[in-house]
Amino acid sequence: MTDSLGEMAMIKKEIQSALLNNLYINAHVVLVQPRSIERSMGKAVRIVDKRKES
Amino acid sequence: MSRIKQLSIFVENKMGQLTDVTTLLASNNLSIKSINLVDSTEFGILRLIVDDAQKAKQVLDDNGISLKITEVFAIEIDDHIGSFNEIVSLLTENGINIEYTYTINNQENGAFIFKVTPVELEKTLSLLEENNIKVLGEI
Repeated sequence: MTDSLGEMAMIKKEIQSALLNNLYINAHVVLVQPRSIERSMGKAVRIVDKRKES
Repeated sequence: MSRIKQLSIFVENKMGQLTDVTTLLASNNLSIKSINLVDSTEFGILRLIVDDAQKAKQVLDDNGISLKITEVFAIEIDDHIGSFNEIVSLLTENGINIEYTYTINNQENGAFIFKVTPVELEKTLSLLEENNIKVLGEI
């Protein structure tokens, strides 16, 4: 946290650059309050079980 | 003590963010003396002077609000045309860069609030004293 809008914008750009340079992800970064992003509960669900119960 | 502690609070540009802060301050009996809000498209910085900066910091920290305490100074407004210009000119002539400024009014008087870089703060306060410009100890 800084007291300057310009410095805050620089932090955002630095995060974007770091993601691009290290992970090759061109992300749109949005600054939010600390600990306000909900933590993922468990593993990602990629399979939907559509079998009918017998 | 001529340095005033200002809270610089990060606020997201979404409904209710400002209320979150003001509700916390009000419910903890903290009085807001001045408000200055600057914003970009995605977020803003809410600059507040309150009657108890340390208590306000603790309350906001405890509730996950991101903030920083910044030192600023206040100059009593001499109510005549050009008074603000005199101060700004004095600082400029002495190579002091003003980062931002705003005004505050209370029942008795008004003041200009100034922020300069921390390394220039002491020099600025000495310069103002040498030029008999009244810097307020508290607001």
